[in-house]
Formats: sequence, structure tokens, C-alpha cells
Amino acid sequence: MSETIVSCKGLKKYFPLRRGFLSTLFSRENLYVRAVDGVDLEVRKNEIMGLIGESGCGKTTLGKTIVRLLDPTEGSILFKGEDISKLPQNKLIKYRTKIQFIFQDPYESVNPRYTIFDIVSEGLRINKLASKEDIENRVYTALKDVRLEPPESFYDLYPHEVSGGQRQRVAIARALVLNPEFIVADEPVSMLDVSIRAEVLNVMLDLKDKYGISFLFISHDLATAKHICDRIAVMYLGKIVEIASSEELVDKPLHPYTQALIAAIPVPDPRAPKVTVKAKGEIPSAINPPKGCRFHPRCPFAFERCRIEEPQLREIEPGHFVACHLY
Amino acid sequence: MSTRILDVENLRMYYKTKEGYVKAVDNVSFKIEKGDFLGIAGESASGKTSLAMTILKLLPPNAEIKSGRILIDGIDITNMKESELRDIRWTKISLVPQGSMNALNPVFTIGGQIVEGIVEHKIMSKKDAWKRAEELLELVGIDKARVKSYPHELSGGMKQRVAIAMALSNNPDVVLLDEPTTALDVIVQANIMNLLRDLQAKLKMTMILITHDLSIIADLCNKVIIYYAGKIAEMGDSLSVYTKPLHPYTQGLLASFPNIRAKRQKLSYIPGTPPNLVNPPKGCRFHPRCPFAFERCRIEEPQLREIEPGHFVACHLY
Repeated sequence: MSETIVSCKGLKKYFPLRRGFLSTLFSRENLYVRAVDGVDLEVRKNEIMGLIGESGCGKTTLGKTIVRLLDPTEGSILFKGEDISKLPQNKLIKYRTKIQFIFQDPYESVNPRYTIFDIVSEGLRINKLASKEDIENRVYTALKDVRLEPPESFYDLYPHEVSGGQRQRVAIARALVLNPEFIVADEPVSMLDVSIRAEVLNVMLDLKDKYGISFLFISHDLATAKHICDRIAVMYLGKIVEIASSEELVDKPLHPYTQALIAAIPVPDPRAPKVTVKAKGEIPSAINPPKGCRFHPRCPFAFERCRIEEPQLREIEPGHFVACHLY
Repeated sequence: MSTRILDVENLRMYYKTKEGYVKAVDNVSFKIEKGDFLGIAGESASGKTSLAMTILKLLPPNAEIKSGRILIDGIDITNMKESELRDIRWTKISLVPQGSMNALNPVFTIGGQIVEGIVEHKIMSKKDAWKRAEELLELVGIDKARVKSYPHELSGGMKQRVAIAMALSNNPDVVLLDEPTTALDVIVQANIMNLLRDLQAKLKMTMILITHDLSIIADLCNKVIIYYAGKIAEMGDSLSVYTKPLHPYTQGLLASFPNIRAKRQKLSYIPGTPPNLVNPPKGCRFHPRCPFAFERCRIEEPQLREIEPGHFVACHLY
């Protein structure tokens, strides 16, 4: 098995609920949004790991916590064997270049008053990683790697002068210029039109092949994830419910939630079977998640045990993990 | 034919801006029959919502209808006065606007909001209108006891159902839905899709669905229009357009669409970006992005022609 680059164990991120003064004074317990509630996950070297879930399942919070943009409530995060979960900010700096984050909205994540050269080179300048000459070389290579060619023609442009897809590739170049080993990409193409998404996704695949960069690809879109990820983890209400290689996960899903997700995805072919709904209702609140298995109120196969005991993530077939009492 | 319900002929609608005219609807013609479920697919800023708003004549002051006719059930509404249009809207044709589930008034009950729409357009007592509101909720799969609920008490999927119920309240012949599932999670989206499918079968209604998502159209619609840069690129029965796409744009769009049932593969894309509609490219508007473009495409604008029975394409290749 190839080596692990990032892993987390028992990772939790709770957000305290803001309440009024009186209710804080008199009530017994504090309420939390349990956005990430005990997640074990590993991302291997040179792989694209997909993290799939509906809105509100905690996938973005998990991504931000893994790169320490948020401080974890509990649990460990290992980057190449070293625990970075409790490192103070000043010690964290040396990891910041190795671990990068690409945000969902390229219209908001790049500074509109900076030129593309300044945006891409900023990390190098701040971290004093390169001489002036070196900076230009590295920016040139980074832009070339994200297929913004010829690179020098983009140097003096401002973000509003390029298209959405190009803008997102500028954001990737900004991450890439620091020679990262691990990138968390949070819905990097959901703001883009379908016809240009693959242009951005193929850049990610190139970077994986060329530099061996590992990715955590956060998305709600299982169909896209199937085609670009090596493995996929499915998240539901703060927990991982299933992990498998992307083809196996889509072709032989085990968890009833994964099955429901796949059955609900329409196919661009009128001859294909129509969408079906295999889960009742909508995702409940993460403040008071259901007892036992969190999916049980919506699950068509739920039985007594599901209401009481929380299922653990177990390896059912080699490399295929599922948290469900059916197996 | 007597079953014709909507007829759009040579429609041109431009927005007047400082930069010039934005040609959002540029010489568009199509017809639909009673009971059709038509999907209009296009990318963002292709003008697909403008097309819908032009059909309903719900246009901002800077919009100008430059030419063409819109016939709803044989009635020409192109030059109708606003007061006459009010009778057409909701009773002949209604709209579920984009994001309408978030446009419900938070301080009124959903029943109250449905009733408001009914009594505005129909002579009916308040009591009967409330009864009708309950019927409508049941029709879209919401317990009628929820008629006194406020929008914040409903989930996203239920709010979308309420928005659909409102559009159905006066039994319109045609319902236009603009991106009705865009902000919803995939399981909720499947719920709404099944609701639309059931409603269409049950009420024998004509529906027009506008979306960027080709897979939703494939799942629901029997006819499809592929809209690009203010024009119809291809139009026909869903089956023939999806299985035998003729226009290079349709082909590129379908190839870049991830199919969850397909084998794992590298996804393709259409190079370039959709054009600015103030100054669209000369000739075929798709030619700068087209892998098959030749001389004629740069000069002459292709007309929409029927290549096979019921299958229209605007491309010089055919």
C-alpha cells in the first residue's frame, strides 16, 4: 500500500451555539453544532480522495480543520507522521506551504486589486521563499502547469479580465507555486459551467501525475467525483459512512445512504432509468443528531439496533469500509 | 394543429445597456404542443432565463422586444397591455421563478400566500380559496394541515413544493419552471423531479423546464432545446438529440457532462468561454469554440433547419 500523507483520527469540530445572556446563565448544558463528529480518514500519497456529502454534512468544515484553518475540538491530524492538530500558529507556518487550500468561489478567493502575477507570487514573497528572479520563474512554471498559456500574457491582468475557469486556475497556481504536497480543493468547479469544468479538473489530474500532489476533493457531485477521484469517502451529518475506490463505491455501494444518493442522480441519457428516492425526508440538524445511526430516521432498512447503537466504520471487503449494521 | 399551446415566432429581445444591445433572445422560433414537457438547456448567461421572461413578458424597463410574436393558446400576447396580460398570466401560463422558494414572505403563512394569488386572479370567496390552497398542498405532496405553517417551518424541498403549488393555483395550461432544483441537494432534487413528472401526467399539463443540467432534462422532458448565446443551436425529441446530437456544441456539452453510470474516464471540455452577447461572434456564434469550424462558419450565420423529422439544428455541417 502506498504511504499515507495526511490522516486524521477521531477528529471533531464543534461550533458553540450563540445564545442569549439569560439562557447561558440558567441552562445546564451548552449546545454545539457537531459539524465534524469523530472522523477517521487517510489520504495517500499521489491520490485524489473525494469527500462527498450534501450541504450541511460538515465536509467543508472537515477540509478546513484538516489544514488547520479551523482548530479541531478533539482528535489528531497527522501530516507525514507528525501531529499538527495542536501546533500553535507560529510552528504551523512551516507546514503552511506544504498544505494548501483551494476555495469554492474563484470570484471571492482572489484579491480583485492584485494582478495575477501578484496573486500567484504572494505566498513566495510572504514566506521569503525565493529571490526576485526565482519568483518570476516559479510563477511562470505555475501558470504553465495550470495551462494558462502563454504565462507572461497573464502577469499583468486583473482577475476580472479573465474567465471564471481561468480564475479558478489562478487560484490553483497560487497554491501550486509553493510546491505543496497536499491540497484541499473545496468544490473547485461548482461555480463553473459544466462545459469548462473538466478544464480545471484535468489540471488537478496533471498535477497529481506530474508532481505527485495528493488532493482532498470536496464536492456534492458524486458523478464528477467518480471520474476524477481514486477513492471516495461519503460523509453524512459529521461522520464518514462509507469509503471505497471510486468505481466500487458507485457500482457497488453498501451504505443505504450512498445507495440513495446514487439512485437520485439523474443521468444525461433519456434511455437510462429514472431517478428514484430511496431516503425519506431531509438531512436533520447537526445540533441534535439522531441517536444510534444518524441515518436511521431516513433509512428504508433501519431496524432496532440502528436506533440504539452507533455503527462503526469497518472494512467489509478489502479497501471498502462502511458504517452500517446491515453488514 | 389544434393542440398547439405555445408558438414563438422570430422572437428578438434585446437589453439596452451602456455598452450596446445585449442580444439575449435573437431570432428564436419554436412551438410546443399540449402535454409536452420541454427542457431548455443552456449555460449561465446564455439567455435562457431571458427567453422565459420574454414569453411571459415579465421584462425590466431596458428590455425591448425587437421583433416576433408570442402566441399562447392562439392568443397573441406580444403587444398586449399589462392589464390584459394579468389575465393571461397564472390562468394560461404561470412561472416558478428561479429561487422562488426563498422568495416566500416570511411573515405570512404559506396558505395565506397561496390564497393571495388565487383571489387576485379569480372570483372566489376567501373560504373557498383556503380550501383550494389545501387541495394544492396535497397535490404537491404536503400535508394540508401545514396550510397555516410559516416558510421558516418548512424545509427547502417543501418550500419549493409550495412555490410549485402557487404556480398551479389557477390551473394554467403551461407552467414554466426556471432552475427549480438548483439549490437543492440531490435526494431532494429527485423528489421534486418525481413530483413534476407525476403532476405532468396527472394534470396533462404542458411544462417548460429551464436548467443548465442536461441530466435533469434527459430524465424528465420529451423535447429539448439547446440554447447557446441567445439562439437555438439544436432542438428536437430528447431521445434523438441525446442519442444523435448534431450540433458540435451539443456534442461537446454532452461529452463534458459527467455520467455516473459511465466507465471512469477523463472528462472533456469545450475550450474557450461563451461569448459576450453585446458583441457576439460573426457567423455562427459557436465558431470560435467549435472543433469543426470552417470558412463559412465565420461569415454566414446558420439557420435552424429540420435535418430529420422533428430534429432541428443550426449548423453548416448539415
